[in-house]
This record gives sequence, C-alpha cells and structure tokens, in this order.
Amino acid sequence: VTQPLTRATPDLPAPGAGSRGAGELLGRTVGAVVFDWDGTAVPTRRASARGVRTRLERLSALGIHTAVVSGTHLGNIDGQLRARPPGPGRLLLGLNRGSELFEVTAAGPTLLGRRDETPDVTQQLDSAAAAVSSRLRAAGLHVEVVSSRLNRRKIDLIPEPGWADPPKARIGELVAAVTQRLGRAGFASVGEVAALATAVAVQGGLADARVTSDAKHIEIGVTDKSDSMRSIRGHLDRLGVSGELVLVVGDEFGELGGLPGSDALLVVPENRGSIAVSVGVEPLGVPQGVRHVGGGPATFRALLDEQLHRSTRLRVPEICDDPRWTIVERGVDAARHRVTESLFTVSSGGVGFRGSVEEAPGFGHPLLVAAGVYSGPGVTDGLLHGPDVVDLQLRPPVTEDVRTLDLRTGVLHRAEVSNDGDPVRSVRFASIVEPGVLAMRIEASTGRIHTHPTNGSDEWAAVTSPSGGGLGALAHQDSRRSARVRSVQRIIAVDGSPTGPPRVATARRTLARAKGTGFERLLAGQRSTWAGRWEGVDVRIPEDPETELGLRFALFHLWGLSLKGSELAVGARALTGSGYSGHVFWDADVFVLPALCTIDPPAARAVVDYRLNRLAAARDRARAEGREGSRFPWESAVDGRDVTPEAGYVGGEQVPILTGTLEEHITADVAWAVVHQAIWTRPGARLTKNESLLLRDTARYWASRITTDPDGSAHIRGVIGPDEYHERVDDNAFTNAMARWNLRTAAHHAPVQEAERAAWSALAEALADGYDATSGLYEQFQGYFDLQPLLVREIAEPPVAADVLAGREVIAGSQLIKQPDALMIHHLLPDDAVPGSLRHNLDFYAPRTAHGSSLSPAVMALLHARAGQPDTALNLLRLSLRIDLDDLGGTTSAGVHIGACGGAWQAVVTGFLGARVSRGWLHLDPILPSQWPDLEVRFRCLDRDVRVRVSDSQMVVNASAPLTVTLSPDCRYQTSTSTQVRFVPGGMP
Amino acid sequence: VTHVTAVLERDDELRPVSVDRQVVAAAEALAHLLGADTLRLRVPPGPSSDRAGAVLEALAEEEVAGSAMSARGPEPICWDVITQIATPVIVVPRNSNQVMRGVSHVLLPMDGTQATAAGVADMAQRALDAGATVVGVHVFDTGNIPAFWDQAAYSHQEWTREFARRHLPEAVELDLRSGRPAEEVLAHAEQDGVDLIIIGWGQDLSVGRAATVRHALTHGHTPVVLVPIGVEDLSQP
Repeated sequence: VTQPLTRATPDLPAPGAGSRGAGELLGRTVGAVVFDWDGTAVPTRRASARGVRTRLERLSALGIHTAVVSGTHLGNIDGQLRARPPGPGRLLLGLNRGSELFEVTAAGPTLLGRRDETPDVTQQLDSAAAAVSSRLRAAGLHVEVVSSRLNRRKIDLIPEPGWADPPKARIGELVAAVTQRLGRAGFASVGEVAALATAVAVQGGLADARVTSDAKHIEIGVTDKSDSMRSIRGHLDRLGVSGELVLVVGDEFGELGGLPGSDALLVVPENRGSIAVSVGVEPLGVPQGVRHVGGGPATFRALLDEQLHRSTRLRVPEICDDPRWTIVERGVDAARHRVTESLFTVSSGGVGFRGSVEEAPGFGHPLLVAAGVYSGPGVTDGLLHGPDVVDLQLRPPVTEDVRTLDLRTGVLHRAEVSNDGDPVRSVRFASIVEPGVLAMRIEASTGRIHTHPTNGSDEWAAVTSPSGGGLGALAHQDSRRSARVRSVQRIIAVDGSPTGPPRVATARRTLARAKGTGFERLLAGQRSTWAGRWEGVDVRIPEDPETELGLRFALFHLWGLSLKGSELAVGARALTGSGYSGHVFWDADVFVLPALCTIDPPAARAVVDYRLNRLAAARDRARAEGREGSRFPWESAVDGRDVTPEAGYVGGEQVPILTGTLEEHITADVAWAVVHQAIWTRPGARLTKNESLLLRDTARYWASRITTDPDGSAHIRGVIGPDEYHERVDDNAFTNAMARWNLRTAAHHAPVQEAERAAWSALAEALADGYDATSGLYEQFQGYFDLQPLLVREIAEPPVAADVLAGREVIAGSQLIKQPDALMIHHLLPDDAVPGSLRHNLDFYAPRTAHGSSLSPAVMALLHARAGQPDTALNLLRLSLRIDLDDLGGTTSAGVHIGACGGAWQAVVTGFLGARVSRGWLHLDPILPSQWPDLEVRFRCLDRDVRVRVSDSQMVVNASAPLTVTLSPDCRYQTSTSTQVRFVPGGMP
Repeated sequence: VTHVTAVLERDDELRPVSVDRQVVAAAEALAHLLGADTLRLRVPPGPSSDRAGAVLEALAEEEVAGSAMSARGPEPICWDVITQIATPVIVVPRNSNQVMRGVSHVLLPMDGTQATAAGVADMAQRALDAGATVVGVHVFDTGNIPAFWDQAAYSHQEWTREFARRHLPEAVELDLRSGRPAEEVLAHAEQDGVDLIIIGWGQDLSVGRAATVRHALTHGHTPVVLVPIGVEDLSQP
C-alpha cells in the first residue's frame, strides 16, 4: 500500500530554506535512495556538500542504502561529498555516466566495476565526436569537444564564458540560449543535434551509442545513467531492497531541448515500483510516473531528513508488494483469520510467531511456540504455548485491512483500509540476524493504540511446563507520538528450553544485542540475509507465477525451520500452529528433511540430531517389546517415547488408532533420513559414529522383528504401511522394502562383526517385497489384489477423505488407498525398485489413490514426473501447493502442513529436475510440463550452491565449487556451464 | 409486543393427538425462545392456495415474530407457507404424535456454509440462553467431504474445532456423521431424543433442494424451526 505525496509543490520549503521542519514529503519509509548529483544533491560542484554528507552517513547507520549517479568522475564526487558511511547502509557511486561503480565505506571508495574503454571504442568515439563537431561547424556553429571522459565524448554546444558553468536553477534560460544558438545554424533543437550524433555514431560502428544532453552538451558514449542504475539495482537486489523500496531523486527527468532529461534514464524497468521524484525546475514538466516537487537540493535534503525523522518517530516501513513474492489477504474475515494466522507465521531460531493481528481479536489464535518445547511428555501434551508478546488494543478496532507477507524479506505488513488520514499500519519480522527475536512496529492515529508494557523497560513473561520445559519472552517497548500518529515498537527476545525453565539472562543478552542493533538495522539485515537465502535457493518459473509463488511460500516456511547448533523437532505443522500437538512423524524424516538438505543443510543435520538424541528411548522401546536394537516411535515429542493417541475419529466414527503400535516403517524411515542427509550434504557421505550406531540399531530391530518361515522366506506381519486405510497387514511392500534397505545399508556401513553383517544380508535377500514379475506390480500387502477393485472416482473426485465418506470398513475392504504406499519404494528407494516398474505401478495405483493424506499429492507429483508424465505431475503439484493457501482440508487454522511443503519442493528438485546424489556426484534428468518452457532451480547439494536452468533444449548447470553432474543416457538437453561443472553422460554411477 | 402465531387448520380427530394441541405447544415453545406471546389463527376451509395466501397475509404483520403450523392433514398449507414466509416458523412433522413440552435438547444441522451458520446463530443462542442443550450436526457427503483426514485424532480435533468456531455459537458441541444428510439428521434426532431441530434454509423446495427439510417434515417426529436465509446471505460460501 503506497501513500501519495502528502504535499504538493506550493507547500514545499522554498529553495535554500533548509529542510528542518519540512515535514512529510513522501509519507513512507524506503530502503534506499538513489540520486543524481549536480542540481539534485548540490547546486554546483563548488558548493558545500556537508549537509548531504552528514545525512547520508546517518542513513547508513540506520541501514538505509544510498547511491549517487553522476556523469562525472570519482574525484569530483568523492572530493565534494567526502562521506565515510559507517554501515550497514551502503553508499554506492555510479559514476562516469554508467561506466564505473564504486562503493564508499568508512575506509574510502573502492572500485566495484568498470567498463574499460577499448581502443576500438576510443577510435569510434573520437571519430564520432569529430564528425559531429565538423558537421556543426560546417553549419556555422562554433562548438568544442571539451573533454574526453571514459567511454564518452562531450561536445559543448555553447562554449561561451557566460555559460561556462551554468547552475541548474538556470536550466530554462540555458535551454533557450542553446536553442536560439542552434537555430541560427539551422538546427531546430538539441534533440536534432542528438539525432545527428546518434546517426553518426552508429554509422561509425557504435551500434548501441548512448547520446545524451544536459542542454549545454551533447555527449556521445557507450554507457549512460541507466547502466549505473542497473548496476545499483543488482546490488540492491542482493541487499533485499526491491524497487518499491527505492526512492530515485533527480532534477532532470523532463524533456530538455527535444531529448529526455538525463535523470529519466534512472527510471529503468528493472527498478519496477520505485518512486521517482524530481526536485528540479523541469521547465517542460516531468514524464508520467515521476513526481515533481521542485525545490532543488534543499528539497533533496528534506527528503533525506524525512527518512531520518521517520526512523526516530518509529514509523512503519514499507515492504515489497511484488505479486511474485507476496501472499496478500484483504479484509477482516473472522472465519479465515485463523488460517491466515498460520500462513503468516514468521519464524527464526526455532521460534514461531503466528501471524495474528496485533489487537488479538476473539476470533484469533495468537501463538508463540518453540521447536521441541512441549507442555509435557504425555500423549495429549502439545507444544507449550508461550506468553502473548503481541497483544495490544485498538479502539476502534480495524474493520478492513490488507495484510501482506513479503516472502522475499520475511516481513509481515498490515495496512488498514480507511478514509482516516492515519490508518493503522504495522510490520513485524522474526529476525534472522538475531534468531529468536521478533521485531514489530505499529502506528495509528493518536489515542487509538493501547498497550500494556511500560515504555523503556524490559518486561519478562514466561510459561513453564509441569515436565520442566519453558518458554519466556523479554519485551522492550518504545513509543513515539507525533502530531497525529502514535507509533509503538517492540523488540522481543525469546528463550525456550525443552527440559528446563526459560533463561531470562539469555533473553536479556539477546535483547541487548537486538536493541543495540536497532530496528532499522535489524530490518536491513533481515532484507539482505533473506536476499542471500533466495540467491542460493529459489525456483523461477516465468510462465507459471502462481506455482512459483506457491513454491516460494513452501520454501519460506521450510526456511522457518532454520536452526543451527541444536536439535530440531519438526512437528507436523512446524512452528505455525498447535496442530498435531507438535508431534514429530515420518513427515520430518521423509518429507521435510530431504527438502532441508537442499535448502539449509545445518537444519537437516539438526533434524538428524533430534533422532540421534532419542536413540536410547528407541532402544528402550525395542527392549520392552522383546526386540533387539532400536524402534522409533510413530509419534515422537520431547523424550522420544511414543506419544501416539490411542483413539480418534474418522469423520464421526470413533476408532482405535493403531499407528503407534503398527506403523513400524518409521524406524527404517529414520535410518533412511540419516543416510540421505549424509549423501546429499557431505562429499564422501561418511556417517558419524552416532549415525552409524543408529543404522546398526535400526537394522538389529528389523532382524529381530522379521520372521522366517520354514521355506526360508522372511516376512514382516501385522503392520500398517503409509496407506493407513488398511491396518494390520502382512508384508507391506513399502515396510519390507525399507527394512530390507535398512539391513543392506547397515550390512555395508554399520560397525558390527562379519557374522552379523552376513546375517543381515541374508535376511534382506529373503524378505518379500510383494513384486509380481508376471503382472509387473508390487502388491501393496498380502491379499491386497483380492480386495474389491474400487477406483477413487467411483466414490468421489480426489482428493477425498475416502474413509470419512464411505466408512472405514468399506474402504478397508477395497483397493482404495490413502496415499502412495508401494509407490513410495520408487520415491525413496528408486535403485531398489524393479527397473522400469514405476510407470506400470503408477498406472495401477494412481486411480486407486484418494489423496486422503495431505502428503499424498506432492509425492504423486514427483512420481508422475519421474514416470514421464509431467503435465499430470504439475496438476498434482499445484494441488499440493494449494492445501494451505486455500485451506483445502479445513485444518490450516491449526498450522501449515510442513510435510506437504517439503514434498512439493521435492517434487520440483527430485521430480521435475530429476536431481539425485550418488557417490558424490549430482545426477540430473529434467522433464518439464508443457506449461513450463523455462525452469530455474537453485538448491544446495554436496556443500555447493547449484543452479540449474532448463529451457527449450538447453540445460545450464552452475555450481559454487567443482561438481560432477551425471546425465541420463537419454538426456534430451544440451548441457553447458560457466563454472567448474563436469558433465558425465551415461547415468548414475 | 410481538407474538408467535399458531396456525390452526382442520384438526384430525382420528389421530391420537390433537394437531391443534401440537401446534399450540410448538407456538408456545417458539414464543418462549423469541420472548414473544402467542396468538391463534384459525384457518377456515377452502382451497389450499387461498388458505395459504390468507395465512401469509396474516403472518406478514409487523408484530408477528414467528409462527407454528403442522405438516399433517390431507392438504396442509405449510408447504406453501414455509417457502414464502419471512419469519421463523416451527413445523410439527407429519408423523409427530407428541406434544412439545418445552425445549431442552436442540439439534442444529449445519451444512458448512456461512449463510446457514449466520441464519441460525440467533435462534441457537436463544435456545442456549433458555437453558437448552444445543448440538450441531454436520453430515459429510460427496458434496462437502474434506479433502484430507490425515490422522484420526488430530484431524478430528482440528477440523471440528475450526468448524465449530466458524459455524457454531460457543457451548454448542458438534456431531459429525457421514451419509445422506437428510437421513443422518433425523437419525441423530431420534437417537438422542432431540425435541427441536433448527434449520436455516433458502426456502427452495424445488427438485434436489432442501432434502433435509423435506425429509424432516415428512419422515421425522421432531418439530422443526425453519429460519429463512436471505438471498444475499445464500451467496456466501
């Protein structure tokens, strides 16, 4: 939501009147100011720039970036400005009319880039300048080529002492004088001379000649200010400052002598959404979209002052509203509010803040939770609800607003839709500069905001669980009043512990750091750090922005799990709600962890650590059940004991829940996740000692669990597979395949005696997996093919909770399945599946899959892509991405389905891109749906940043370090790279 | 002062219970909920359309807060009246042999739309305020079945909690069922001894519409309060 300029030209301070008390010119807080020098920042080259210098340095200290764009060289600008910004706000100098870019730090200027003038260009520019001068002189006009600058030549059209260095305030007179002078030589305008110069330059070989004019000169060059702006834009992108957050100030946007003003070149498409303001005279007006306020350098300084003033008044900053990066919710809908609270959760450092509105209406469910911090060890104990850190009151309440989650920067913004001149506006973010810190601001007309905490003091609130864990928040509030607006700022540091009380001292240290950094610098760091995340991990689908946005939403919440140096308990709704009691299922190991391996490997490592730290509990359970090794619980929470409820309801039918006792594949899933993490994130894929022990223990569990018949065949009887519609089945194909993999892998990598290895290997080979060579199908479990051959469309359109609709008994007696089961072999263990069997099994099982689990569509999307059916895959991916955005299941109010998010990302990386890792090599086998002519995926792999761009018949792969990429024998793409990527055709090793 | 009008048609003396007594008792029950008095309106014999027109005209008076009538009899006018009346009407079903003795156990069939929820919210709250136990019932069928039911404990907990917060007043429990809504609503009413069903509806009895209303009045035994929902409200999801 943007606000217009609040004052028109007549209200602006008069030129030279100074900016103090100038009030609001923009009415918004920006992240960067890009400005012209001569006439904009300073009236002349000889004028003092002290006022500009001090303001730029103060803006830098707040994290606001600035950039000068000028035709002149470093000596002139730095010599006059002499700014030495302290940071973190950057000061860039785009000089020599687009040919050089410098950064100025406290240590002085540093060259970031230069377009050198080649001998050919020198010759062409000299020739062009000479030819134009010659033509003008031939027409009777005395002109001079007054200087040679990098990559351009200047022709002085009015080399007269009275116009030697005209101030910009006299631009109108200058244009008239030059026009009159040109007219005597038969030229109608400067524009006509520019057209002549362009024609001459192009004729001389300068195909992309840039001819500009400041009215006094014609300049022929190969760069111009638009090149500076693009270079600066690139830097701002990396700093997370999008176009909407950029203020562009100049004094020559309007036409001059028939040519666009030189500052019009600062308005480039790449800077979409920026605010362009002219402080110049602009005798012929300004182009559409540029705001003309006039007032020269004094107004420019007033604009800078406004930014400084807004900071001290704690005003709410703007965010990007790029539809490719934002989730937007309009209106106050009590029925949907709890859904958006989940969607708009912001998380960092293992702490999640639900996206509740500040005043916490009765229909909301505000929540602060921390990963792994539960209210107790029991089955019914969920995530511990922390203290309410956002609560305040608004009188009158907001009746209509627009809330925007900016995925690009991780900032949640809110703006009231109101005729009131000072609507409620707020912003908040979970800081990734200071993990576990929430920073928020809210503003409204004076008297409307009512808060509890005392300004200026730190207030501690904590909640502890009976089992000893706790979650506390230390909040510091500041408040400012201006004439009509009150702003409130809170910085909140959270400390949580699964096993002990929250530590106020830790929170105090964190809060002190955050307060010392300050809101603006936290925000600047937030923007740049998030920009870095998206630089490394992202998806770009130019022709499918909706899917692209859905995937970015999924990535955003997966990033929300980012955690270093600690274990990570990934509940089924992550940190976005209290659903599923925060319990950890196989979602964490099989759906989230593989995604985290490609997004944030330390977080994947933390997921593994969560399991490793509960290996002892898994051992205890196996022992209690008379088994060897370790058995992991179907639902896990604080201590690793099984916390699966024993009863529930399918629709309205009360049922016993058997997954806690029978869904045993989780034990192999955990082992698979440990190994997968090692393969994807570590060149060499070596397991740590504890990981090896986990692999050993899980194999020992299976060895003790499997029964061997007199005929030598091995079986696992009485289990539940991923398809929970069928309970207590024998030889579930997926469970058996996973157990077999567990045994085989442990036989190779676990630290055991040879006899045990041999026994495991033998047992693995004896274990049935249900594959029938005659039909080419995996039978999901013994007797599955004898069930009623019902197809899902015979009862309803999928996705559908088939058991709720038709009743459990009916479904259990049919071949309808909740989610891929036997097909999960092809997903997790593609090398163990019978070669070529995917498509046939997909053809059989897909029409029987109800997608009654939210995990189902993403996996099926992945499998259809791998089976060469990318269009079907895309439909399923889209379905998966809408689960929460459209609340398809009616339960998003309890949190985002993080497993579906992880599955969707896997569908892109593993499904469409065909990415796998084996023996330290990345394998790629892309296949794109017809609606995606282009796809770019950025991800982490083998400790490298990898970018894969697929379009038409080309695949470009780049990596941040040397990388070997294997390709399928039938790879249809021509490959290329500009980095140290080595392509090896012929398939995986 | 407002009142609930008991619309009395020709009584069926052959029945074990007087229709008049049933309608008057129903009117009193509705009047109790609405805080109104009761009036009796005797409908003279004549063609059913004439009788319905006269009744509708009488019930259009400003002070009429609601009405009561019966679905019994050879040519009951209730089918014409309920589709046109603007105020709540309590209808004694065709098969009812009981006389209402107050309202203590109320059933709210909810189809999951905001329109229905908004339509019955006031009446449900009045029943709660009157000390009745109010239970919502939602029946899953092919038209409203959830896409996902991930896990029996949490999905039920989360789905019902959210449904209740969106559609039911506080203190109203929710019963979930699967099957044909018309049959399941009546089954619940019969099993739980419900003495009043409150249904929000669009007053449309055309083919394929209002199956629960039709079924409740023709096959049920429990009086039904029909709360008209405006066209604008019906457009809400």
